[in-house]
Amino acid sequence: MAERCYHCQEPLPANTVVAVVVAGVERPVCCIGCRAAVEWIHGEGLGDFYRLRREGAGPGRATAADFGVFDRPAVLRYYAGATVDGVATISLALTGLRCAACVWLIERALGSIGGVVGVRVQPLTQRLTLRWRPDEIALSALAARLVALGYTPQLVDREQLSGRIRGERREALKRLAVAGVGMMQAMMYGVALYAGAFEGMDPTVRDFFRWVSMAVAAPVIFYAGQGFFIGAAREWRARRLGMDTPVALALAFAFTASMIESGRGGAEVYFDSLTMFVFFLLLGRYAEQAVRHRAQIDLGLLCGGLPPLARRIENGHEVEVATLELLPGDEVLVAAGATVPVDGVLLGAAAEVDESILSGESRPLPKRAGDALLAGSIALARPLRLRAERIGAETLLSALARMADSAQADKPAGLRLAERVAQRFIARVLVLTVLVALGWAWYAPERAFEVALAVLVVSCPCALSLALPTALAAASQGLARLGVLVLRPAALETLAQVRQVLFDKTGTLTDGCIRIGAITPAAGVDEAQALALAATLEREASHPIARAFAVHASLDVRVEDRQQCAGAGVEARIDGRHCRLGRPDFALVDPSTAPPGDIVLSVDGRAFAGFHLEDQLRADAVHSIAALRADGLDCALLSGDSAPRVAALAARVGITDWRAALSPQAKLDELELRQRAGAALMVGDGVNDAPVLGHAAVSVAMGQGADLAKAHADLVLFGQRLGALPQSLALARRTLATIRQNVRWSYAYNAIAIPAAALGLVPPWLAAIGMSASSIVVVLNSMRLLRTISPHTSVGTTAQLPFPEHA
Amino acid sequence: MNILLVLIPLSLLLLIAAMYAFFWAVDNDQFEDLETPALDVLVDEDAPRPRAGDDR
Repeated sequence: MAERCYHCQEPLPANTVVAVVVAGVERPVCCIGCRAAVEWIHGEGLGDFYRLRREGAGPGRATAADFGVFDRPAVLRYYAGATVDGVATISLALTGLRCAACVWLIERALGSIGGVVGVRVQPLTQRLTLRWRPDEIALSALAARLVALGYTPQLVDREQLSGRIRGERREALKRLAVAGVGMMQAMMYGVALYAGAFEGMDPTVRDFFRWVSMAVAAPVIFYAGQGFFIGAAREWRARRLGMDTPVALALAFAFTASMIESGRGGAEVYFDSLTMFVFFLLLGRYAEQAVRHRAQIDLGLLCGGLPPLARRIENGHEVEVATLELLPGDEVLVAAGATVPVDGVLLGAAAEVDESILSGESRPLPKRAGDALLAGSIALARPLRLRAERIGAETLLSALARMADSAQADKPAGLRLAERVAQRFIARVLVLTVLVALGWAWYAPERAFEVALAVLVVSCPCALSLALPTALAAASQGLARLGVLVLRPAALETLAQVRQVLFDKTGTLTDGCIRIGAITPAAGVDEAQALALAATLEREASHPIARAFAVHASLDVRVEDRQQCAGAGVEARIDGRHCRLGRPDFALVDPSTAPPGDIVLSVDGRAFAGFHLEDQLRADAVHSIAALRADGLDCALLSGDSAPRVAALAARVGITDWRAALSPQAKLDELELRQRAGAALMVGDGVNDAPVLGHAAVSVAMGQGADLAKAHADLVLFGQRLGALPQSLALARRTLATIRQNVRWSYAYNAIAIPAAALGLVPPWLAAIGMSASSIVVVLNSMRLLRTISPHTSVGTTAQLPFPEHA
Repeated sequence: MNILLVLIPLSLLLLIAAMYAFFWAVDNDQFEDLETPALDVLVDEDAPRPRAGDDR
């Protein structure tokens, strides 16, 4: 088994040896970033972090992104609010929180920095609330410290989403507690009543117990169960039979009936079963709500792609303001390559924008003055001037994000199906109850009421309605432990049915850090010159190749008309000359004159230099693909890169089925062709992949990929651990199997219990036990999904496979 | 059995007190983070949590 990094727990790369000495023991780490993180954490006396945590931290990063934007006055004014006694407060969203030890570490690490007054991390909403003195320490310095530890902060709108989620969760907790405590009390009195029924009980004492039970059950039904009545009223207004109507009917009917029975000293009361019914239903809803909240928070983080700042034109001057401070009618300037912050109307010259985050279509769209521009689209080529119309939550992008949020859009087809099945089931039970009551009224009128009530109570729809949400909640939690975030719970169901896995190459199978290898300049050009020109050209692009050039110094010249051509390269006018960098057939007029190298830099169509690119295989790529193949899945590699490089990489990871030099459109065609044979899982990263990810049955984006790809992905691999893929697939299949078991169990239970109750064979105590037992079985069965999940088991399962450790 | 007439209402009163305490705890952030506080007892140091300065 491969050794793992002391800090982030990733497998160590084959050739890099970085070590850090901790308490006299030399520990291996995977990179300089992690070493810096370990040294800093121990230097601050926070070494306990490694003892307390359950999971690896995010990899530390040596080169922090630029958080200078955090220090702009507009950010401090809008996001941080007024300073009181020199102390400002800001709420930041954090990505990379994995377990309780992360919270512990962040609170300690930031708390010990001078100028920081208070740190508070809320793991539930992934928010960091920071109180600090801006005079003493810059916010960007604190942000850089967080990044160095492996957590990425992000500016968020003031708390609206997290505030709502916290409120909903608190409300749900209270209702659940009332129902739980009430259930236990009612059951206690219920046991006394049952004992009385067997042993004989004084009617006065019996009635006393019944009235006390009712006193306990009333808040459970009318406070904890309020949601069912409100939901039923809503369904009634919408003239549609939902889940809430039958539940509310059954609750109201059984409660009233039990009350009447208590009043006239009748045979049976059902307060205990009723409270239990409410408690279990609430339990299922609580689990469902937790999954939904989790998805909303993650989606909010990923789709919060609107820039925090905008440039407004005030009296002819550009002024930087927070995006949410803009008002409709303001004139806004968007730099070339920047994201449009608001919905608006284009003013001035014609322009091109990329709306792929909204439409999935990555072709540049031409826009003329007066055309509508949408927030989230990217200004290509030249700066734009627009008049703002809709801002923040009113933009189409936010509306789309909300739509994806809403429970209905989010529900897997299977869940909707199960709900429909449950609805029909309840409707039938209601009809059956009436029939049974009529039947008994004819046969033995004195028992009709009692038997009808028993049928209603014993036919437990909650096992059926718990079957899915509890299993999905457990699966989402299990996946989170593996470092996989579920953005669309619906994907879990498809994930279990996947027959083939398609990989992108750059940034997916490789670690995305491309380095520039050998450079072949054309005659009369030196390497430094070529490198500087290429770096200038790639200065603002976000493609992995661009990042390789970004570390080299660029020229201080004007770059005009920059255009990124997905799958081909980038072009721009530098110093009045037309420069292109990309695939030989894109860069050169005559590709046969290409110098050796993977990408070619050309000036006015003639070769200037060729660059060899080197990328490093992810440490666990070989193991993961072997594990996927062992599971009987077809693995294939679809890449836009050149054939020899793809072939070499495919051979190293053990993939025989690969396609190279695919344009985004060709990738899409290839995907659709392959999907005819069965659902495919697409694993990708980068701008080029966004449309492909959107079209695959299920898609996974690597955690550090361009934001665009994430917006289209169903799952995000935050741990950067490919090994989580085979485990996620296995978990998804187990989830589906569990759901089937749950549904079968509740059908089997009802098939036995309902006829027995209809025949008058089920006394109330048996009905109560049967109903709760059937629900508990379902909950426990779902909880089984959480067992045997550990982030680091995948390597062990592949150890016996005939693949060498490092191919 | 007359003692029941005293004991059961008494237990109901206790129940109401317990629910009130629980509601108070939920409203005062006691249930926001159920994992991190458990780690604090595992650390051998006396330094107060940085959170102490935060009076939200």
